[in-house]
Amino acid sequence: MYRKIAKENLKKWLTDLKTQAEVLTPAKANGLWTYRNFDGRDIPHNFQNSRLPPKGLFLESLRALFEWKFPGGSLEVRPLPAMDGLRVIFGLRPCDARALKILESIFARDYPDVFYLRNLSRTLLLGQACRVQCEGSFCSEMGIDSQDSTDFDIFFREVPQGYLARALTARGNALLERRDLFEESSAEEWNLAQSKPRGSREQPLFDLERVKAGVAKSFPDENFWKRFSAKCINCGICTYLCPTCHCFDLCDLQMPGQGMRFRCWDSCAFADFTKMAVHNPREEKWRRYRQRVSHKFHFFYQNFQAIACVGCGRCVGHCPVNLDLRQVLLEAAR
Amino acid sequence: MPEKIEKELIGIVSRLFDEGRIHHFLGYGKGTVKFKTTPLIARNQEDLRELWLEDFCAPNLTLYLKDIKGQVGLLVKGCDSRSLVSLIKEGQVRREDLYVVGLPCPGQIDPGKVAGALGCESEELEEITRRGPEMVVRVNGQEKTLPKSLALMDKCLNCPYPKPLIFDSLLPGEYVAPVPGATPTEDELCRRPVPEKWAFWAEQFRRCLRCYACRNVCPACFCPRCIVEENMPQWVSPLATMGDNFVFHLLRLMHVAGTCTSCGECQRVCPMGIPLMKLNEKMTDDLRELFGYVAGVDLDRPFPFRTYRQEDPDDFIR
Amino acid sequence: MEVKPEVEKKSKGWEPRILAFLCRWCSYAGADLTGSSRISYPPNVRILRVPCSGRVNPIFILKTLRAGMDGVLVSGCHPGDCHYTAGNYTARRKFAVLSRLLEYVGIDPRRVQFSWVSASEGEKFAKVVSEVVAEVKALGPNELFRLNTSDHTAEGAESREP
Repeated sequence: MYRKIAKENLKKWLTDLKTQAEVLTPAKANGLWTYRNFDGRDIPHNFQNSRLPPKGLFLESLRALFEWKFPGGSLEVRPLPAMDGLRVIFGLRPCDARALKILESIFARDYPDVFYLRNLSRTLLLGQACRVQCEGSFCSEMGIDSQDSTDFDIFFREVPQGYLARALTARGNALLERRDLFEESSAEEWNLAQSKPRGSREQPLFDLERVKAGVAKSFPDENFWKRFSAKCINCGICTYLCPTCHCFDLCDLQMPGQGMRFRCWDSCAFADFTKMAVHNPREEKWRRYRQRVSHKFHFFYQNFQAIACVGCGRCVGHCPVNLDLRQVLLEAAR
Repeated sequence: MPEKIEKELIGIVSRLFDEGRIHHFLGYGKGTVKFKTTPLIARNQEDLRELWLEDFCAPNLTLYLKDIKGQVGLLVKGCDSRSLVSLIKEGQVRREDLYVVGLPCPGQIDPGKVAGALGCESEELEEITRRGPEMVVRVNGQEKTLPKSLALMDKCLNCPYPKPLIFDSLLPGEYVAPVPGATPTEDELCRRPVPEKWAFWAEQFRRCLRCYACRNVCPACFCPRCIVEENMPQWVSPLATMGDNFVFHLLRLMHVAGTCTSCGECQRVCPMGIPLMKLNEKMTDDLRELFGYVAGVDLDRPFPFRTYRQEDPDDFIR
Repeated sequence: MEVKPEVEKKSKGWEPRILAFLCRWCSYAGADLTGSSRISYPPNVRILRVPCSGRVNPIFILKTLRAGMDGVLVSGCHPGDCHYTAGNYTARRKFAVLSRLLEYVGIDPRRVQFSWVSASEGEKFAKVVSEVVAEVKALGPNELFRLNTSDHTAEGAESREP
């Protein structure tokens, strides 16, 4: 279903939605872009993407799973409920939405993760086409169209008069049934509004198939991985800013008489990620970096037929030492 | 930095490799994203071809001396040389193992400050070039100018030691001069009442992800096994709650006190933009005021917590 | 310092809990003397014996506050009397710095206090404890970053965001 809406009406629509749901839109907080409760103002025009990926709204960075108490010597264990309440996120980008689809392989397939899935099912994803190619990004090479995406409930394209909207799911269709605010539109009008994001490349940076083959082939090449990982400082920035990274740790907080078990984000880049009682199979930095890239571009594909990277560019833009994944992939593809 | 200086450096380092004097050289390479250089870990002369010193040489290369031991050559700016002094004092490197090339620094550009001053997003900045006392900035195709004081990192505005304190060779070049009229913004947080200070820092530490970039990029944090990684007993919870983040950052600061030279890397790399330099500067001010101690300046001066004076401040003790 | 209404309510019946790190050679012996001299002092203090005040790592103090104790007292030998010669001297430096740092981040310095109490100063120990307890009581419970089960949002999750 195709619709269109004037800018003022979009704001009215989002304001009205607030009566039934938590509505999040791009906003700046503490100098960084994020998604915050819609405050009735214009959707920021110069928003490219959020610093932290929206995955944090689904796979929370800190998640209490259950708690226990010892009243009078006995043990009470109480599972904690998943978050509830309808939620609408407007202004998501195609890369991040694709990442959420990729994460479903982890959290929905073999073992349904109640916390992640509840967050997913209670959220309506409203995406917006990108106007600018984010620095460091390579989304199109990863098969993501910044102008069109089916990974949402509704996808929007900004036009001079307002927005065009394309509903992709039944829930999306239902939301657009505001005849007073949305006008009819068409596939033709939608296609006419296609534009290339500013700064997008003329030629693709690499061929993904060659990258996949190259990463797989490079596994035993110790020098290859040593050369690239030499400057890595083993922090967790690339992992925490990545929309597809999903490693987590379980940690108990024990207090007198009670305690809680948490799930929290973890990173394979940390030196002690694989440290066990006697042995750390990834003691050396190059092994960890090899694992990181190979997991995303090789093993994950073998297991789930998807590459665990959407080319959003956050790791490239914020790595403290400018360890550029694109360079690694390009070299592997050669 | 003019090409001939890069050539001069390559000449020096090539000779060092040839003579077997060093097995690694730490320099800068051109960044693949705007306004950044990347640390260059050169193992031979061929790697030196990637050397790039034109601008944005912010990273503190002494960080890699934690990992790369033995005969190493490296580039140091004034602030980096102080980290080197600290590391030598801490027994983490031996002076005679190193070949130190001093790099004059005209002050490092802070793209975030530039964007803030021009009222645009960092992502919208296209190019920043120096022109005398000004910066020429291209934003969305338009050219704007900015006084240097609004573009340089805060730590550079009144750099106390622009000239490297240690070097075997010193490259020629321009040094940052105190920018007239730009006093370092006095931390007005100091004058706020305690509950307001708490509100400020609680908000900052709530945002911390515990990515440990600040700790890992810090030359002063060289423990092979950080106390945070210990879980028998668990001193600091790995969970990124506000309270545990408080403990982590305060603890780290106390542990590096006396070694930390306020090089600013921790703040530069923090993905959440937490103003960690406020803490470092507070520590630096206190150490100077209480004990007359400045980190990374005097190889012979003992560390503040490994020595004492009879007359040390005592009035806060009952 | 203004006392919030909730604190006043809590004060009626709320007693602060203070952890005291006492050096084995002087302050701990001094505290012992307080007891054997039958001198009364507030029971709010739990004592943890350390070999020397210099043994006290800042992590002890931070963890104490994190665990929810309302105050910390560290007590050692007078300068010049340290059994290990200089332990208390370096401790004095560390505590001076830590105290200022704690205040800078918004933790009232009256929550973390220091004293020199010798083995013969039974009366002084009682006095120090009384004063510290009174000051901490006036500050109210340590709700700053005490560890508790609402370290997450009420619903049990926190999505990290700027």
